[in-house]
Amino acid sequence: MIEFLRHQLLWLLIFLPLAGAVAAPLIPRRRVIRGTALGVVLAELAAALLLSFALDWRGGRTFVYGGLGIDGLNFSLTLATAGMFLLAIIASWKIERAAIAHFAALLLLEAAMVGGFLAVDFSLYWLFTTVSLAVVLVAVGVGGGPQRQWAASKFFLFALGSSMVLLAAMPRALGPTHALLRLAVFGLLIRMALVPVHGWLAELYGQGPAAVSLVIPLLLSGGGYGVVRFAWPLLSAPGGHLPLILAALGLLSIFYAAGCALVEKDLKRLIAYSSICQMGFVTLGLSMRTAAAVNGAIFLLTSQALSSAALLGVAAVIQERAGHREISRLGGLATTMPVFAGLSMVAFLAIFPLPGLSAFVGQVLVIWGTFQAGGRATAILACASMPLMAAFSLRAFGRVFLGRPRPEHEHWGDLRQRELAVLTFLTICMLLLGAMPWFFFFVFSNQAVVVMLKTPSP
Amino acid sequence: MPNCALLLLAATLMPLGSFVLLALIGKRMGQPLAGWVATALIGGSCACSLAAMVAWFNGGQLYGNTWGPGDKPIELSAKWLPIGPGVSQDHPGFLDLDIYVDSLTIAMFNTITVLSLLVHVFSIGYMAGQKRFARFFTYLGLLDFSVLGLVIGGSLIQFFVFWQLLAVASYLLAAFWHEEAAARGAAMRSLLIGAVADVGFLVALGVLVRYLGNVSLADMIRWLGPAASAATVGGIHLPSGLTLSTGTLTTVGLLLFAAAIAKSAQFPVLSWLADSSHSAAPAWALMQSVTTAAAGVYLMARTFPILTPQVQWVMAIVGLVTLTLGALAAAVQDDVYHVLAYSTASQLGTIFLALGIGSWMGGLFQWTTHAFFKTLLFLAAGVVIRASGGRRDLHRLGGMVRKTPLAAIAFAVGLAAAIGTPFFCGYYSQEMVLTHVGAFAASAGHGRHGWLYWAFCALPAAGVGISAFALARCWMLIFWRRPRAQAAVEDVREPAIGWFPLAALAVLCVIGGSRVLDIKRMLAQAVDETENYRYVVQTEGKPTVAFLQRWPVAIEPRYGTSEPQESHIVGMESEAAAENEASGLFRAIIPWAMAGGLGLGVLVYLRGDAIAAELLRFAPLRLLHSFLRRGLFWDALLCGVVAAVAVFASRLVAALERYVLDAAANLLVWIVRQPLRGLSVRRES
Repeated sequence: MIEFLRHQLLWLLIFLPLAGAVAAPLIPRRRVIRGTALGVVLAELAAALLLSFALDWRGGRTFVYGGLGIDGLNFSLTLATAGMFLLAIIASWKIERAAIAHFAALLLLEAAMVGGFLAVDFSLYWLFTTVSLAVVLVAVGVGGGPQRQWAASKFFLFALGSSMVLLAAMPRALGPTHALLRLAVFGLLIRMALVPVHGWLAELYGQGPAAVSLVIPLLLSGGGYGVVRFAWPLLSAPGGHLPLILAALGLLSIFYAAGCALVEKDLKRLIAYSSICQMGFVTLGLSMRTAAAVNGAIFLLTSQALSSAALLGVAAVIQERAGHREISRLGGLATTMPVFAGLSMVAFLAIFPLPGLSAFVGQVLVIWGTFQAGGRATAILACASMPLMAAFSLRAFGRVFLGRPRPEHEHWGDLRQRELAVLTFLTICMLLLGAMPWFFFFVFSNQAVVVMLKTPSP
Repeated sequence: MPNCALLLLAATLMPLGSFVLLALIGKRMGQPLAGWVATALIGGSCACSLAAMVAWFNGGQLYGNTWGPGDKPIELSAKWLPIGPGVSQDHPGFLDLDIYVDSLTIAMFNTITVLSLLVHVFSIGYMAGQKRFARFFTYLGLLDFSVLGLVIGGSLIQFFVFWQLLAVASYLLAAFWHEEAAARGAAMRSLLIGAVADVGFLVALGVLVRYLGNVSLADMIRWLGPAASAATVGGIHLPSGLTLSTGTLTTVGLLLFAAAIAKSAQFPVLSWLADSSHSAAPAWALMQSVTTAAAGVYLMARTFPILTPQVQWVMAIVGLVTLTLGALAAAVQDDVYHVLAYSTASQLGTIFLALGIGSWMGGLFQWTTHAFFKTLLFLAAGVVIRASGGRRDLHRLGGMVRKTPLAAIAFAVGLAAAIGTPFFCGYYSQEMVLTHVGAFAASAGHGRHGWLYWAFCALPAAGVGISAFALARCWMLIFWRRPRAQAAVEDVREPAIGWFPLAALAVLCVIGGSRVLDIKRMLAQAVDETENYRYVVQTEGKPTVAFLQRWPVAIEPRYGTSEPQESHIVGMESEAAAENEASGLFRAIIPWAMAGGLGLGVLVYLRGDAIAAELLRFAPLRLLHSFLRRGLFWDALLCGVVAAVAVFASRLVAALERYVLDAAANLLVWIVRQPLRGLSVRRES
């Protein structure tokens, strides 16, 4: 019986939100539908927690059933996805416009994203992630900000490109190291929004509706997960130039995005650049192929989703009150909204990156792994990006929150309950990940990484 | 876990508890409850530290090792990050977090928590009626937690973690009154100077992790310690097959020292400390005496066993330059806080000089006494500034002795301790440091390296005189004669705050260096503990050079020659002889330097700043004066230039982003949307 449940659990994780999405249009009333959606995401979170019974955290083997699988590489991401959708539902609790479509889209998106993270079969991965890109596309194109159509068109182009490239690489007849597969890696890089194919991210963050933008960072992590799961044979193949190219792209992304963020005026674009920075570290780590670097990269996938979501939440709170998110027109919020300022400070310090919050552990592991792999110059360059990150995160925090309060902000109340709940939840997650990373590695990723590194290359 | 370590852990976590508690409900507690809660928690931390000291003196057993004063340190480790295989990992494949307790840890914990407790008590009165009262104590809790975590930590990664936390806590305190743009800017500048220097820390950490796999103090001492002090030609061969060249080890040491330079405001960047003095006096007292600025010293003291002679050289020279420049700059500042901040930089320079020439005990002894008197000086200055309504300009203060007699006495006691008046704590530590420095200069000066080494003796002696002058000037200008700015001095009175902390600190300033507290003995025991450790772990043969070998660099260059040199080891007889000579030198010179500086300060400023104004009509003096007053701000300038370059480069990148990459994508989108355009318009109509 338990065996049966264990096997069904993987597909259940996908069917649960899918059923919710299908059932949503049948429910006429907004109150009922949001209650149903909440129930579904809570059940999903519980199911994701139950997955730990399927997890082989001592041996690091993958538990596979019907094209889906669970191991240390994707467990934390699945859990984070389930948690993030809970927050998205909470954030859209009071939504007025097109509530049915909104909740249905969120649940559908959850099914697709969870499926994407659970897939160990490349065609399933392609299917699920393409669906999730399409749902985000529609959600932004319909429910987004004033320039939603432009943002959606741009996103469409990039998403289409990446999906087509991946589709081309899908036939199994190609063999494990075919040239097309190398091309497919670049399809995944588009999804990770690496420079120079990052153009879609900033506008998507900017125009996405508040609830959806909480889960958009997961798209980036999904791309990174694809590289970990499917491109590993290519990366570990001896003599290839791929790791070198990836390392260069990673470093380029880090510095390019940090530079852009340092002078960025729009808060959400700044957050987009900080995400790109972190994905640069992920790429760098994966290209180094040492235990520390790969562990760090996998850690960063989860951490990026959390910290970017927290920052986007902060930006959403500001945008809702101010109607804009220009850094230069804000200031002094620490005086008018002290609780909000405290929680935001944690979010900004997470990308500082302050030790004790999530991003630091991942980045420092990537750097150490780079040192271990012998890339001393690369590692020193990666170290040198740290003050840039410190500068842009604290600059943004200082401009928005410190200083004299502006008269036009004085009537803003502090956080409302739902906003408080979302930001507090994310803050606690970042603190836990950052202060007790051994838990993450011990339970989730380390053994899986050890197994992965030992896998003979083709 | 031994009681001693457990108590110290509790002592570390209590300020964290204070931070969390006050961050959550501090505002609701209000004044003065929030302050008392924070004080109670730091008091608990202080009690735990004292109890830990008792437990430490009793000693005990752990994993078959005897720990206790003079024996071995307590080491405990827990795995933290997966790092892959390494040389000697307690948990294979993992990088550990460690607790490392020896006499130095105990001494530091007690100094920090006692001073912090006094500062907390003082702050309750000092911050009364200010807005963000609870917030201030919240940040103080974070500051204390970071520094205690740094001190209890037994691995370099912990040092880095808490180092960063310390930077953020200092940023929050320096930008405490963030409505003032100057406070914000200065806080940001100091944070960024630190962040840039911390790149060095991070690289050093990366290199060590690569070679060792674990960066606990124990591992570093075990594998790198012997190589750092003895001549190892061709580098250290580690069991993992890697070879760490001595050049790399030197680079690691220099990078660590770069981070310490920024944190402790040493030579190239010594003015950020003065630049960012916008916070409240109690916060400054803590930041300069035991936490932020003092943390650099702690880092170098802990990593001392792996520092190569070259690194110590650099450290000694940077310390020497800073102590001179800092003392000179302190003598001409207009702002009370600036005088004290430059004096801190100068004192820390002395400590780095001591560490550099190998006087580990002397440096740390000076660190402790400096913590006592600098806290006292800052708090006394705070009383004056508060009493005169926030006036910090020396030329507009004056005559405060009648208004704030207690502060005047406290400041005088701090001053006496700072300049090394006999029977005050500064005397003992200064004697130790200067004797060692003198012995270094003597033993080197007699050698073939010539007279230049006497600078190592002459400049510190001059520094003592100049410091005495600077502080005497400060006291005279604040307290003597009659107020120079008549306005708003009428209602000045000493606030009824904190006579107890001031009195307690004054007592500490008197007994701090003597046998009553016997910090010297604890430090000597700490040396023994580290040495014991070295003897035990070094299995092949006897160690050639002791940990506490003094003046390691003066005699012969160790590396770069084909064979290890024997002559660099100074025999005990010559060491003792040199020390005797230096001790005589100390007795002969230092009292004169000190009394001279003090007398000059008192005489010149006896009639307010009239005589000084006369003196400044002499052009060379005026030039020197204005250079010292403003010229050292060049690191703020440097910071500005670096920031400007970074921003310029970023603008270029942003332009590239906007006009090339983004434009290309937009063009593509525009082209694709053309056929769809009619479609969407039709639907909308």
